[in-house]
Amino acid sequence: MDKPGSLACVGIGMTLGAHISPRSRSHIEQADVVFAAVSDPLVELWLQQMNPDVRSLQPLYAEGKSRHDTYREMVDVILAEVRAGKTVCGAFYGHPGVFAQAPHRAIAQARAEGFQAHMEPGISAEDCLYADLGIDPGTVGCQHYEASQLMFYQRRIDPSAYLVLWQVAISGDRSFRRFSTEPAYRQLLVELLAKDYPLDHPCIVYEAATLPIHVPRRDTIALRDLALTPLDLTSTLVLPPAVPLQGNAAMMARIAELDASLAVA
Amino acid sequence: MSNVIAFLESLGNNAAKAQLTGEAYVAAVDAVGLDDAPRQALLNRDADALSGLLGGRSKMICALFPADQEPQKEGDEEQEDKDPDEKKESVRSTGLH
Repeated sequence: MDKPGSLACVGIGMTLGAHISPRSRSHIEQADVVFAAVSDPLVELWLQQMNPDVRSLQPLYAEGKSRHDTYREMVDVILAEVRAGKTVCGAFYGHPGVFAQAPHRAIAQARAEGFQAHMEPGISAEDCLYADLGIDPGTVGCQHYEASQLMFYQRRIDPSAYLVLWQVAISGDRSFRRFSTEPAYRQLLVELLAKDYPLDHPCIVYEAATLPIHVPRRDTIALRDLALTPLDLTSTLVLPPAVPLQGNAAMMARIAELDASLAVA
Repeated sequence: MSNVIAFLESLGNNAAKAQLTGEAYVAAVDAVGLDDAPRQALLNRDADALSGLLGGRSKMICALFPADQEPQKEGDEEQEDKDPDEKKESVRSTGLH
């Protein structure tokens, strides 16, 4: 039997009032304590109307402080209340398991200690991006990378698919202590991308709407202009395909052989 | 001020309200019966002004994911070198919890 104390990490979606699921809302309303990591102060105030004990995780961030420490502290404060036997809810903007480290770690830790723990999905920025930009990732495929991770490691970019880069405003930040990087870092990203895309390739800077009184940001820029384009932590860069799909003649021949052999049999 | 948040929520979850513009939007805001300052902030769709009036935070950080794992301590690295099979297993991992 599970110990007293439980954890649900839920997504509240991107836009206030528009995306939260009935089940996520009930987790928030029924919890003894809610920890909130959300994208807008008004969203935080909205959550406070759903539960009398909503605790913001924002104070754990600080300029110059490693976000590794911030994320570890998020897990610590959440688990402390679970261990105290409380029904705990972590309410995260978007989807709690997409580009979000602390919810995964908190659930893993809670389960490792014998507590019931659960993740409830939400409408993510990626979901909004597909709707707002009219992109279907099934048409030619879609690669997603955290922008700095793309720079730090050898990756294979497929320019016949969509490429989506997250947290592009902090491209190249190895310290994990900054909330933006200088244009020179983004210029290195431009140079990396220029191996697969022309410098005049149209790219889209996208930001989902966090409030229903706002509209999404959908700015088309040339790749060469990325370094000097104003960005913040919510900005996502979308590179449409630069080349058409290339047929795989060898595989098509093998499939044809297989078709023929099965037809004979 | 809770009716400001309730109004925003209704804009979010009501398809008809979400599409209000012009005079129809002004009428919807006026129907809430707010003081001048929040009314004007809503009419201007000025989130910063609204947040200031309602006591919201002046700055929010939207980052929940590190580009890389935390640098390992020296002892941890030594442990990984001793156990290469376990390292391969972690590469094959399909879930985080």
